[in-house]
Amino acid sequence: MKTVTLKTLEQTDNVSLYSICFDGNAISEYEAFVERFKEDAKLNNEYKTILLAIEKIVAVGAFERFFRPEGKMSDRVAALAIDSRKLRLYCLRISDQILILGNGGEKTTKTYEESEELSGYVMDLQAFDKLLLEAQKEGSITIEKNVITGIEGKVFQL
Amino acid sequence: MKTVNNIQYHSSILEKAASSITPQERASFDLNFGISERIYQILQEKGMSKRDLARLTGKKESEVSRWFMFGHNFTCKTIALIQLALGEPIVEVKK
Repeated sequence: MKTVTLKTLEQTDNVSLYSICFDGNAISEYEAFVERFKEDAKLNNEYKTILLAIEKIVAVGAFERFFRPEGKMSDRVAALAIDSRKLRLYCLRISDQILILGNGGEKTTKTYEESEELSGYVMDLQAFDKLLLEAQKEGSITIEKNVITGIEGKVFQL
Repeated sequence: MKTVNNIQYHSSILEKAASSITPQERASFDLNFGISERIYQILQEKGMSKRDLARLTGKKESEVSRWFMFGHNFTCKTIALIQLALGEPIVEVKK
């Protein structure tokens, strides 16, 4: 069983950007993604597009049109909509003002389900989405405007 | 905590990554994003969908969808086609 914590990456008056950390790791999944692809010459364009897209989202909002739904209809897992089939970044779009970034990777198969790596990232987010909804229901966390409160020190069991 | 492009980075990993983007890469991304948002805004104002835009431009819906994705690189030819199809200016050149 993995443990998950939520790390705040950026917070503006408009948007909060979070990412998930596994098993007490100080480096979040999005930071791990950035570290992994920063030197990848083959995917450099896609990598930089993702960095710039996240910056833009922090500035203007995590609008639905900036994402393509992945996962199932019942969850909030999405992939950042970039004009490339080569690199994917997965996230949970909670609202226009709250985005939780996960991990991602090179897309070498037609669908993410065919890739053990990518489907793993999607499944992690799907499972975390359920935990988040349960925590919200029981009142241990609250989501209001651009802030998730109650996450400091909270450890989720995935 | 450092500021890059008006964003305060709490993470040194993300701050370093943002610093690695050149001014040209940022300007190119911003221009393309601005064009895409302008097209989206016109569609909203006219109550039109991407499907309508595909029909008006004679392009496949899948191609039109790409115009709204981050990092799409518009050509002048495509911008001209969309401007004519929508009957609204998208890019204006300062004289």
